[in-house]
Amino acid sequence: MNLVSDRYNVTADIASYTQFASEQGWGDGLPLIPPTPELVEEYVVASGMEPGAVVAALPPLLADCTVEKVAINAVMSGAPASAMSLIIATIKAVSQSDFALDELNVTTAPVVPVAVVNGPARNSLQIPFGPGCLGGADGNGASVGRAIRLVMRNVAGQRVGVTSKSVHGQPGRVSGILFGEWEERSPWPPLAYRRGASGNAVTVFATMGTMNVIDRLVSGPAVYLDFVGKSIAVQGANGYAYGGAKSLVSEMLIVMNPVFAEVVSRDFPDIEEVQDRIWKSAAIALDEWDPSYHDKFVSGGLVDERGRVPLMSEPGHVMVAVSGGLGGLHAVAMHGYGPSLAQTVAF
Amino acid sequence: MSATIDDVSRAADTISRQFSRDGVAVQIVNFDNDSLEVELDYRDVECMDCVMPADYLCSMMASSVHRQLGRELSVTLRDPRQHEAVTVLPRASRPRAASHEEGLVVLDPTCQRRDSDPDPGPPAGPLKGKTVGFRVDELWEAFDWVVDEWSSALRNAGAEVKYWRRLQGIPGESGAQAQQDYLSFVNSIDVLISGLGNCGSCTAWTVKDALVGLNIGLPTMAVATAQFEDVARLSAEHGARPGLRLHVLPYPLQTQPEERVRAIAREGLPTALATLGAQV
Repeated sequence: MNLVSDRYNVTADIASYTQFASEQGWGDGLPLIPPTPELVEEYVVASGMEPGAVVAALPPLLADCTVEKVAINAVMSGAPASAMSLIIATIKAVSQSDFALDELNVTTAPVVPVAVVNGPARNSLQIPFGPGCLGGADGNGASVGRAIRLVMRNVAGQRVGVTSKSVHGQPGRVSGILFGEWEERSPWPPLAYRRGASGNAVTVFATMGTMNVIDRLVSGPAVYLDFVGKSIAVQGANGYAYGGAKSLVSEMLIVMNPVFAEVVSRDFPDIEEVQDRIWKSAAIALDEWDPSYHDKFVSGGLVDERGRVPLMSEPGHVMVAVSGGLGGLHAVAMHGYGPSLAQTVAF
Repeated sequence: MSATIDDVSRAADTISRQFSRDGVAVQIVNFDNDSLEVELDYRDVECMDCVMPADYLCSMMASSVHRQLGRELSVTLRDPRQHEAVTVLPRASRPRAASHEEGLVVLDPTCQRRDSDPDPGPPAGPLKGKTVGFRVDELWEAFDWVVDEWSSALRNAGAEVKYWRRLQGIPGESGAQAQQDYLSFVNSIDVLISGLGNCGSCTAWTVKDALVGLNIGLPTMAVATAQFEDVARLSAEHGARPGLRLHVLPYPLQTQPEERVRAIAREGLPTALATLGAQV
């Protein structure tokens, strides 16, 4: 196999390689697996593609991201070779222009792409979708997510303090946020299917972080959806960051646990009804804002007929996935990032 | 942190206890702050074949010293079984290119964009009679004040001034239409000034929009605040046009009073014009 990357001779242990890689600026602070040509070849073969095939041009560097480069970073991350198709699909998804990766990778915001995996590959690749799926569960969620992060660092050229101006970053920028949807426990069609991709698919969504929503006193599905909507409409949400800029979008991803999803579906069997209900509740009355904000919202046409400022411009910008443990109570809300639109790619 | 001979002796004692199971005695031959030299004594060894090879023992010793002292020393081991002493260097001192027998070959995970053009583009020259286009954005009112000040000066010098406001990152068809509008704007001017790079994403957009002008041969200058100068230059480099003309305004700018910002604009105009290669 013709691998064209520059070669280095290093001492044959993980600690030495990790130190060497850190000195080159290739590392994320965690131990790295040395990407030997033999291992990289194995990963390229697993992808079913030629090593020189270009997956995407990733900003800010905009150099060609080849299968070989993806494989090298995947080896380093500890992700299994069998995940190459998922990793490549995720990279293709984040490189779609409407995802706005050129902004994500340089912004002062802590934004990071979330990847939601649908299809049988969740099981074969051991992508967690049950308890602790967003962090803490066994499986390959963290290593596959880390592969994507290393590609952003080493191929896209996202370097903290240099090209990336993220003020604080966030934990998801180390190992990514990659999890599956518990399709078998969801009362609604899988997220990717609703977005036009059946079978194995990954949906990427740019998020500012995770926010837990707990409701211990919930008295019914409608009340619960309103509770979620009101919880996510907070003045510091990124959807309000461009006050007055009407045409900007702001998506939300709501990760509902299977128990509550089942309860909600009794009164809301169609997912569109769920999205609409949350969207309508996710707004802040104009008079709750400091008067200094009012002119921007009014002149931007952002105040609705009820005198509120909606967090999102349309119900379709509320995405719902069903994942997590069966303990009930909790949902996770992920606020979107300014202009970025979620993307779904089959693999 | 410097190690004393007592520290090293304690480390050597620990090692000796480990080695004494095979009857090997350890003697310190030499010690300084960075290195330790020891010699092995096999007089009490009953089974010479049971003793590990010298290079393995030396690695064990170096690791033990590291654990005991909290830092690495260069450890040299003199083993009577072989003529040459064995040395284990601290990790940071090891040569990068180890032999293939000792090490691994690894592949570089990074990419480099190579098709770079350092040309800053043409200078603006005399501005009288020309149309200067300001690309501004939705985010930074302070830059509107700067542009307002510069516009007055340019009009007084006989230039025409036009504006286009970027709402960055509009997706879908609306975004495509906005880009088409921007291209029409760029094609209607003689000189392009794009700003303001005052956050990560808006700096990327400022430069991206500037490169549209530069790449069609317009005299072009991007404007960023000092905090984002490096990301502006990197964005230009990544856009394959590292020579992009860049004017840097002080940071913070947005939080300054309007009159102060206007004063900064007036004071900085000669420098901005020089960067642009313009005469008024």
